[in-house]
Amino acid sequence: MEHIEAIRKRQLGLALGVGIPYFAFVIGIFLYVYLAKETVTQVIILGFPLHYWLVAIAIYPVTWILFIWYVGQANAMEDEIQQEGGA
Amino acid sequence: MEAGYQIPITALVLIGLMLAFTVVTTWMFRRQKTSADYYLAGRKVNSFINASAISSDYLSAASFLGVAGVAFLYGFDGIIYALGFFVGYIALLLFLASPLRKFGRYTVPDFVSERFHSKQARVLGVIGVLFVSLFYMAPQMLGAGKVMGLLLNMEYGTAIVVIALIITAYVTVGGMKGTTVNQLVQFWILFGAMFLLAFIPFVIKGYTYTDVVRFISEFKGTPPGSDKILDGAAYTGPAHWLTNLKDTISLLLALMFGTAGLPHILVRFYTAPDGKAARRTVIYVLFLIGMFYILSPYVGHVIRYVYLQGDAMGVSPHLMKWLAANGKNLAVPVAGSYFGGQILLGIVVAGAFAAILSTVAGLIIACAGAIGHDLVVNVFNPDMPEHSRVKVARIASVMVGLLGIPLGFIAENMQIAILVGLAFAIAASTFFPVLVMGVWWPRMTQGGAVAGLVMGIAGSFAMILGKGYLPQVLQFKNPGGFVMMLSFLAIYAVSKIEYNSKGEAALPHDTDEVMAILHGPERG
Repeated sequence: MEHIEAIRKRQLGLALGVGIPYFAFVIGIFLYVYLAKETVTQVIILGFPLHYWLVAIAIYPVTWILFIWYVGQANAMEDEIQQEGGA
Repeated sequence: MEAGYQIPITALVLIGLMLAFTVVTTWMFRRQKTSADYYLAGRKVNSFINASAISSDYLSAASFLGVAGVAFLYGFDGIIYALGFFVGYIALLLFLASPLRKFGRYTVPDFVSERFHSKQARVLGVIGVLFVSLFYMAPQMLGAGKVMGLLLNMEYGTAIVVIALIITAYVTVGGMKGTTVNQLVQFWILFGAMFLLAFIPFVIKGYTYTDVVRFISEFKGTPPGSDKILDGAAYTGPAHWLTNLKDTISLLLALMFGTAGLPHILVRFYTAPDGKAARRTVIYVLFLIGMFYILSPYVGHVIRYVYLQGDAMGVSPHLMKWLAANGKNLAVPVAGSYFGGQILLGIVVAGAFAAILSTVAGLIIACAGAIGHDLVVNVFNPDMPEHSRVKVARIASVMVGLLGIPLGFIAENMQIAILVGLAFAIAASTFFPVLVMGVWWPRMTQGGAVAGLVMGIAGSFAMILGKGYLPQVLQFKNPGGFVMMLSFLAIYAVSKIEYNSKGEAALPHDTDEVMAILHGPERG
C-alpha cells in the first residue's frame, strides 16, 4: 500500500503543480483586469485592448499548449506505473 | 407569422436531414443487451468521437445562443461565461477524468456510494444529479420554446412539447450509443454554424475584432429601439455589468469548477476505454470548445456593432426589433440572417436545434441513470435481472424527458446563460468537492461525504431560491464559488472530527483497495 500511496502523491504532485499555477493565472488575470481596469484599458497591442487579448484570446492557446504537455506527462507516468505494476 | 420573417428553407432541410439521421441511428442501436450498453455505449467510445459528443453535450443552448447573447448584452463582461465554460474542463482533466474512468462504474452517485459504502450518499447523489440536471434542462427548454418557436413559427408551448417528444423518443430507444452518434453529427452542425457566423463578418466583410471593439468603445448614445444611453467605453471595459468583485469571483469559480461536477459530462468519461483515453478525450474537447468560445464572443460583439449602426448598415426592421426586444437570446439568429440571409439563418436554426437536442439527450441519460440505476436498482432492487434494468432505464428516460415540458413553462421569462450558470453553481458546490476529495484524500470519511453533499445541495438551494431572505453579504448573483468552499470545508471538518474520534475505524474498510484502483496500474 505504500507503493500506491507513493503513486498517488506523485500524481497529485503533478496535477497540483500544473493546476495551482494555472488557476492562479486565470483568477489573477481577472483580478488584474478588474482591479486595474483604468490601466488595462489604456494598453493597446496591435490595435486591440490588453484586457481583450488576455481574456478573449490568449488564454486559449496558453491552455492548449500547457495541457497537451500535461497529458503527455500524466500518460507517461501512467505507462511507468503500469510497467512497475506488471513487473 | 411575424412581418418580414420567413421560415428558412435551409433550416427545414437540415433539421429534416438531422431527424432522418437520428431515426436511422436510433433504429440501428435499438438493441441494448446490458445496462452498460444503454448507459455507457459498452465503454468502447473512441476518443475523438467521444470528444465531439462531449462537446455537443456541453455546447448547449446556453453556449450556442447564450454566450454570444451575453457578449451582445454586456460586452466585455459577458466574455466571463466563455472563459469559465472553457476553463471548466481543466479541473476535470487534472483531478477526475482518469481516476473516475478507472473506478469504472455507471454514474456519479455510484462513485460516492461505492467509495463510502453509503446508501445515504447514493440517495443524496441522486438528488444532486436531478437538481443539477433539471436546472440545466430548464434553459434548454426555454431556448427550444423561445428561439426555435420563433424561428420555426411555432407557439412557445408547441415548440417545447415537440422538441421534448423528439428527444425523449430517440434517447429512450437508442440509449448512449445512439445518443453518442447523434451528438457527433449535431456537434459539427452547431460548430459549423458558429464558424460561419464568425467567418463571414471577419473574413468576407472585413469587420475585424479590433475594428469592432474600437467602434463600439467610441460610441456614446442611444441604440435604436432603446431609451437607455449606451456608453461604449464602459461596455467594452471591465466591470460594466459585473460591478461587484465578490459576485465576479463567485461566478468565475462556479464556472471553472462546475463542469467537473456536471453529471451528464462526468458520465461520458465512463464511456472511454481506459484512463489514458479519458485524458486524451479532454484534450480534444479543449480544442473543439476552445475554438467555439473564441468565436462566440466575437459574434456577440459584431452583432452589437451592426445594431448600433442600424439603418446605415441596412438591417431590416424585424431584425432590429428582435435585437431590441430579446437580443440576449436572439443575437445569434440575427447574425445569421444579417450576414448570410435565409441560408445562414437556416444553418443557425439547425445549429440551435442540434445544441438543444444533444444537451437535453445527455441530461436525460444522466438523470435516467440516477433514477433507474442508482435508485430503482441499487437502492430498491439490487437483484434485478439485466434485461429488466434496461427496461427500467428506458422508463426513467421517458419520465425525465417528459419532465422537460413543465420545466420549459417554468423557465419562460428567464435568461439562458444565467440559468445555466446557476446549474454550474449547484454542480460546483455539490459534486466537485465530494469527487475531488473522494478521489485524492484517503482519510475522507462517510460522514464527510454526506456533509459535503448536504452542504452543496442545501447551500445552493438556500442561496439561489432563498436569496431574498439572506443578508446582503450572503447575496450572490451566482453563489457557486462560495458554497463550493463551504462544501470543501464541511468535508474536511467532519472527516477530521470523525477520524480524530474513531481513528482508522472511521474510514471505509476498503480505502486502500479503492485507492489502488483509482491511482494504481489499470487492470486489463
